[in-house]
Amino acid sequence: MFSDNERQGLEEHLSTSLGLGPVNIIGVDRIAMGQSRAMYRVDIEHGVDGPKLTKRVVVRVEQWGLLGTDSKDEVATMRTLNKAGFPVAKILDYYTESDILGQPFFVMEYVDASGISTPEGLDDYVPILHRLHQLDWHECEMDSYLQVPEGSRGAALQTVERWYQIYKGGLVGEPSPLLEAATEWLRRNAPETEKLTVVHGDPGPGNYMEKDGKVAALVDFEFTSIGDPVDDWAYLISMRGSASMSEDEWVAYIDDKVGVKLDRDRLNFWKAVNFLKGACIDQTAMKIYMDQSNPAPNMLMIGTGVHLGALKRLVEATIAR
Amino acid sequence: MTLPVHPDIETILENCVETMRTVILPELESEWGVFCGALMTASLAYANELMKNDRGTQFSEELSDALKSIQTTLDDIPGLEFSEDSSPYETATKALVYAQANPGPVADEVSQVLQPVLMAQLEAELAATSPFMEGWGAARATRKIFGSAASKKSVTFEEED
Repeated sequence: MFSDNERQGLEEHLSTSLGLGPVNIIGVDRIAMGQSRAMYRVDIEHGVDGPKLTKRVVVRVEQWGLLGTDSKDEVATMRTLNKAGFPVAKILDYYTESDILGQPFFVMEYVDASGISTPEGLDDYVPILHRLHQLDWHECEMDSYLQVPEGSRGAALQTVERWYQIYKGGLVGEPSPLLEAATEWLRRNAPETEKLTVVHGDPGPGNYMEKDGKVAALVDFEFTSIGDPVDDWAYLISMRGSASMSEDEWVAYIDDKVGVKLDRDRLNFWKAVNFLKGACIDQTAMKIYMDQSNPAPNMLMIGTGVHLGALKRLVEATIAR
Repeated sequence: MTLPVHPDIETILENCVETMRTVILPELESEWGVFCGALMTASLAYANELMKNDRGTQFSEELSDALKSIQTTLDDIPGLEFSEDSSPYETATKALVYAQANPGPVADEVSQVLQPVLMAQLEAELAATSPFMEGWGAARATRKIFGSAASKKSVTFEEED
């Protein structure tokens, strides 16, 4: 899991950064889910005098730019939202160097809850997502680290360009004619945005933890941006939530729960943007696999099958409509 | 079989897949180990199929032929030069992006000829990645992943990010 050097380095680091005195790692378990970061449940023992105390934390380690993100904005976003009262795990430490675990990482509180979505949990989750869209991002100073789109079509154009640049940066070998043509289609069909909001970027079942039918924690903020909230609804409906309900059912459910009436044309556009996002970010896995930064087989899976699945949906939603 | 006749590479890989699937994977216990074991098995199966069939060359030739069939139309696209030496994927990219930006007869012909070829290749390539889906299913079937509360996630293959 960790080499002896990594384990020793992490123990020494946590001893000072967590302010708990000497720390011994007594258990490490890598979580298989969540591909953008390597996630470890780490059990530590600490205490100077008397009986040792134990504490479980989660260590989230970057993966050589996998999916085109780093932890900087993610950590800042989690700290902001935790402070603003959202159910977000507290960040205990953020280490930007690579000398301990080979990549930057951050440490957060362990949340003892389940990632399995229930109907009760969903009833609790959707209003929280809507509340996130109502957050005053300027007052929370999120615009000090997240780019604010300019112009009426700025949110759509900025988002498309963000994913396209990740595709360009992660390209291995030949370009993808279908992806490039679909990107051009999206640029030419970008709609206006009514109101700029915080956008989670990866919302839905699997990205919130539940306990007793209530949301215990929202997770995965590496894609969070300031943009169009329809981006989130489209992702929820077409990606993470697609197994729960049909699109029509989702549209009615969201209207019923939070009073948001989704325009189908705009929804379709943002669904396509999310397919672009998937195709672009997944391709970074192939680069990391081929340059052998990370030889794990999930990189090959994401860079091939997952990427191609998203590309197919992108084409069907744009140039092959 | 005796030297210098080597054992067949496909057979070696197929046997590795079978051993991974039936011997090593059931022995693994850790969540991450099971996940990687299942996807390594899938990677071997995927690689073996690639060795049997050089789809890259085949796809490149198909696209070149499609581009040649509309050479006169491509000549109407400013800045686009297509020759035997140029990459058909670079040329197809420029042509299809031009088509999106410039609707009309040229765009229609480019899209109608190139898109079906590329979509067929996409479908074939996507089908070739089925071992990963099967590996993902095999990992879940072990019931050794998602064992703890914190790691339980009900996601589909597409939601892996």
